[in-house]
Amino acid sequence: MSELQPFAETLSSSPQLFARLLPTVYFDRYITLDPPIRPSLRSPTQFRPCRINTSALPNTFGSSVVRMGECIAVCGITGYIIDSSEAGPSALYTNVDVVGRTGPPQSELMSMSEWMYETALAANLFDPAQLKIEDTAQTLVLQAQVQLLSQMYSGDVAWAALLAALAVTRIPKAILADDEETLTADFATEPVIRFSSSETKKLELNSENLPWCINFGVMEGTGLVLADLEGRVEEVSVQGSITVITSAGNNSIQNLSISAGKSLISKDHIRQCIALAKQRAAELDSILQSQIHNGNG
Amino acid sequence: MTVLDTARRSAASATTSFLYRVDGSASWKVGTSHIIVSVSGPIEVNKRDELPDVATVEIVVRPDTGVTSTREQFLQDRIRKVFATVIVLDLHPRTLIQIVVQIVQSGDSKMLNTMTLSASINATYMALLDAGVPVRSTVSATSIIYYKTQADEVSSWPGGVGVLIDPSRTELERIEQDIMSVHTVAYELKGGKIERLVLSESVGSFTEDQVLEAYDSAAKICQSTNETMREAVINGVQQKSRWRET
Repeated sequence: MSELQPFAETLSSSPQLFARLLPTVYFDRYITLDPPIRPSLRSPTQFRPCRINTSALPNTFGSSVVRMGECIAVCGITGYIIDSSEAGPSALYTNVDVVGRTGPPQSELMSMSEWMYETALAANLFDPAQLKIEDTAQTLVLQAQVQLLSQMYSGDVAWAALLAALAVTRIPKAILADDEETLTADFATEPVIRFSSSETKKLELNSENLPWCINFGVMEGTGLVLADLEGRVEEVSVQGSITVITSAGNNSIQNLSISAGKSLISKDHIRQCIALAKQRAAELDSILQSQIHNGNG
Repeated sequence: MTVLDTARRSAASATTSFLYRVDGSASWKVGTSHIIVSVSGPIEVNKRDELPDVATVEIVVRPDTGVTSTREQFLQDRIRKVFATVIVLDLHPRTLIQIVVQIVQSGDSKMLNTMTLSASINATYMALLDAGVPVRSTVSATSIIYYKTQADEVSSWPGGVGVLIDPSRTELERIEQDIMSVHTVAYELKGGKIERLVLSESVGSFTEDQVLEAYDSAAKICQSTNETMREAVINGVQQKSRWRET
């Protein structure tokens, strides 16, 4: 009789095992309840809690740590000097990586890096003229290094970290050395540039309302819209996705990416997502602003 | 409200079955973009990449100039998102479908990759057909760009907004500074009729109404691109059936 007990125990496996083996069935068990709920116990249109900390990293022009649900991203902004004539279309270069990994970056991260660079370029976050170094033919170019700290990661958290870091970025004042000179691209000489460690100037962004990135999923069959997908279970069970980059306060949208998967995405879905995204953008603006004013920003 | 000037659109042309060592190949030319795609599959797959219930899809994008960069990864990712649901993967489990996209000429201006993406999607679909890979439906894609018109130019839309559909590189460079938004849209069709939106990438500054309008315009364009594909397929089959005439 005692041998039956262990057998009975192993048959009733833990919810975590169920989620790993059959994520779509596990998800289904929750979402088909009335009212529908997700395994994370969020309602379909509920966003993850978000925490933002700024200016925590030393040796950067600006930095941030953003946590959304279980995803954490850290962004540090530094800069380097180039000749104005060699400047490319963008004054901001972004790189995304996962902390603790070695070897070449995964293709998903490479794709995310490219997406962030293109989005930053199109979003026109700040006027690059602020980075020009006066009385020289040189300019500063910003480099944003985003590190993903958690097992789970997504583009929207990385992008949020970038925005928060830019919002507190301060450009150090350039001092032209009077004792050293350097060659420029056209073989003239210019004084070497050093940066003041005390005098800094805030990087002015083009708007107080930042263009946040907000993701949604659209289910196959029911067409239910789920806000802020997170985790493997949701990723595998909900393949239709709509990603919106938009800011509060106006009716313009900066980026809209739709990948239907097997779902039928209608105009109503798109309208609903844009409306929710605008609300979330306003919410994120206020979380960031209150952190900057109350914290060390 | 849409006033679609399809006459301004560059005509697309496709050829297939010109590569010999692969199962299928297609070339798609539109504007100044030229993409060649080869498809091999279902073929043998590494044990490491093997999936027990579906075929593995490998997509490689090779640039026209320079070395492979994150840009190609981005394109690969978007192309994969389109075809992962269109190809009937569960008919060929534990096999590989290998798609190689060679950009012969991107046809994009320096900062964009919309034409590369839409032309690659079209070329990939034609190559899949040529290789005989089972697909659920037809896919076609297009690029639509909205820009601010100069004072002397006639604009298609009220409010000084011009539209380019599948433009050439010269046209893109001419309006580069005035670009308002760029939309790359792909639709799924069945029986020549639009079924649903499969992929869309919209970048720039636009309103909800503008982007939904862009989707409607794209649907009409994708329908006519589908017609171009049908003709190319008919020509291809007629070519292949030449031996029957003797």
